[in-house]
Amino acid sequence: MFEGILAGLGELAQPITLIALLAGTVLGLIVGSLPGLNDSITMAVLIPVTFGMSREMALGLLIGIYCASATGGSIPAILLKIPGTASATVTAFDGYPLAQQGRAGEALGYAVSSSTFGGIFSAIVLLFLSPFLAKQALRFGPPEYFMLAVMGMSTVIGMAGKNIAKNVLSMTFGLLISCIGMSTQTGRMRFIFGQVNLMDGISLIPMLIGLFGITSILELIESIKQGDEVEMSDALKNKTRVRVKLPDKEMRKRLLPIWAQSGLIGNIIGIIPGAGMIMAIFMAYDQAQRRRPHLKFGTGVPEGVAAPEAANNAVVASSMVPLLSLGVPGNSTSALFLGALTIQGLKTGPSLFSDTPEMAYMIILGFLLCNIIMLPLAIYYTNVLATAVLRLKREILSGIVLALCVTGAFAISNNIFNIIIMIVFGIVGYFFNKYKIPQSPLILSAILGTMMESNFLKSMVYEQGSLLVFVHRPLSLILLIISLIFIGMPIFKGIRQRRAAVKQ
Amino acid sequence: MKKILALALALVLVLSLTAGALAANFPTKNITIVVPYDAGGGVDITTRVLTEAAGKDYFNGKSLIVENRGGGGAVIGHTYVANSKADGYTLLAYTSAVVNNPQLKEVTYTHNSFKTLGMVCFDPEIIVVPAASPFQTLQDLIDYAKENKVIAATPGNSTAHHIAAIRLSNEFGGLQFEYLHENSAAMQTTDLLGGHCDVAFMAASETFDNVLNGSIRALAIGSEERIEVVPDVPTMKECGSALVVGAFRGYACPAGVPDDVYQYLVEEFDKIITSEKFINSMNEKNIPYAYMSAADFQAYADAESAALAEIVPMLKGE
Repeated sequence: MFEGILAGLGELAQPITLIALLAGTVLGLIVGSLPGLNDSITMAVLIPVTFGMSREMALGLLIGIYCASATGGSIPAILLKIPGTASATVTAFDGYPLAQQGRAGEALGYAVSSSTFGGIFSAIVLLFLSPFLAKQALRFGPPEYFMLAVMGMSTVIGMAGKNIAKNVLSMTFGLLISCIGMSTQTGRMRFIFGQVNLMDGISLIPMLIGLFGITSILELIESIKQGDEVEMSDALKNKTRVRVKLPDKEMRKRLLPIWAQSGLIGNIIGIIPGAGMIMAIFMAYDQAQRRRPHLKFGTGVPEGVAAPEAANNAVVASSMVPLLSLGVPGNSTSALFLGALTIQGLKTGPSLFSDTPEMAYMIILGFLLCNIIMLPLAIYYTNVLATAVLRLKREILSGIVLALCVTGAFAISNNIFNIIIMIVFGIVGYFFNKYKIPQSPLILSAILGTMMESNFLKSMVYEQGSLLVFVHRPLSLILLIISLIFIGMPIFKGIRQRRAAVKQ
Repeated sequence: MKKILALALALVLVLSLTAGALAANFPTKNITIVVPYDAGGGVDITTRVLTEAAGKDYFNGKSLIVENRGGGGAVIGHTYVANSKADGYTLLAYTSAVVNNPQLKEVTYTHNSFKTLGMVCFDPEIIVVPAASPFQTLQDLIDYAKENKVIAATPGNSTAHHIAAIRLSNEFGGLQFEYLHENSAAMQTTDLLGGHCDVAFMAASETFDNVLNGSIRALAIGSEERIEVVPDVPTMKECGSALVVGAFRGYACPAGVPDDVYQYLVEEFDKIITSEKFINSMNEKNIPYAYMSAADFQAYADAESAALAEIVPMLKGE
């Protein structure tokens, strides 16, 4: 392994590889920070361009994009409440309130530093534990995936806060959405009303772009019509510059446990093929909330930015674990990586390490290096972008954002229908906000609903349709118990509090 | 007489001119190939290899342009090309899905809505089991599955691989497959490596790495003859099955394209897909190159469509 690392370093240290990695990182930050564009679109577009490149150069470029886009996505999430990538969805919860309080620089600092921590953490895990972890990931069969989805859903309880009814409403709506399209297990079409565009269900990206981008633009239009003063940011009023403020020593000490636990969650979810980024960020946020129950999450808490940002960058490198060790891509972006590796004539799985150890370790070290060089680049880029964004009038900015949203929704599969999905969800999001219905349960259940349903049906194959399959398999049982604890704890606490109140 | 001769001559001249004009007038702009999948997948990459190999050397210096229209299991892209103007400027990356979709989903086209231009890639079906599986040969699997339930992973209900499994089962008088319909080859591989299924039906190229390093075992392959990459794996024919199945990739145009334009397209495509540049590029990128002429490819697709029609009642009844 040591020789492998040295050989990998040799490959990585070539100027052309480093330049490609650097270019990829810059590109990743840019596409990540533009709502509507993301890493997978960029990589899909660039893969044919890599045909003519050397292996090191092609992979360096792709690694940079994949790593940095998750960080870039947090910039608009914090400044505008519009996540640049799906991975920054949760970052907006506390990042935007912080920005509204004039603490944008601080919030961006939490995001950048947490991303770096999460990224480096999981790159190190990838370096040393890859084969071991990949083996553990294989224990996940359909019953375990089902229980994992249930566990993900249990975080909705944590989000419930005061109004459980509205949460359930939002969650039910999400579950209904997840039923649209073809059921993979039975092949039947549901709720598509003869519309071929709905056969695959509602695509996630246009839905998210609508819920965040379009909704916020609608809200702005409303505020203009009422003749209210459009809220002006500090930067616009005072022509000040926004500077990323990295957390000081005290804050680092405070965030360290959150970073560690979120990084761990991101790593665990990341190595399980198909579990997904969204689940990781929601779980990290939920766990941060449980660890710091006295803080008011959603009002601008540093932990609320740190947890999802550490988790999403941890998912990035750890999603390479099953790809490199087993040849199984963990998500759609790493599936593109698999394509790129094959085109370059590389084998994946154990033979990647035995036949071409220098490339295997170059990829892993590339992830590590990318996360390190990303810190100064992200700070510089964020300073420039944040100042520019906050100095624009909100009306003009919204116009730009709208153009990006429409382009992004269309670009996913060159389909006008995705723009319609985006608009519909923009309106849905607007009314959700109007009636103070939380959107997170909707997003989470729309994603996990599909995973829950198909894996439930698949699980039924094992023991002639008996539900006991979930108890008979040890890992599934453990996940079931954890979910019960997650669901039970807030309820139990609630009852105890009520009792205490009655006694008084 | 002279007048008539002159008229006849003029007529011939005009006719030959218009005939020549049609071929010379096509194409006047770049030709679009619609890939009915999102960018980055196998069909997309194959098509980009093709367009790169073609460059500006064919079609009177015009280029081939890739346009991705993914979604709905390729239905969206198919529908788009079937409804597009049949002028030869909109072509389709033609796969097994063109044959399967019209019979299994409610769509507005059939496989006869397209005329083939040639095949470039054939990725045979492969039947694979976990390394620890007791099945050493396809016969072991068949014997066992006749009496007992076997969990078979496919990349989705009604996919070409599900259909291949049903055809195999029908051939041997009904095998007790309990299907585990995943949504990707990646999840099938996870099921195999983790021992969550007994057997999986996949495309051969998706399994090579794992078969070669011994983490999964291939029982049979659906190609006509054994293939170079995994020479030890017997064909399904050797194992007593008559099946030659696999995922194919080729190109087609809408059925309404005028004959002269169609002839021209077929000729040019034939040149590109048999060119050394294209074949080398396919081999370099590990895409299983296989050539079939437009006519042969059409006959193969027709035969596949007929074979599928026989089992459609079974699929829909499930």
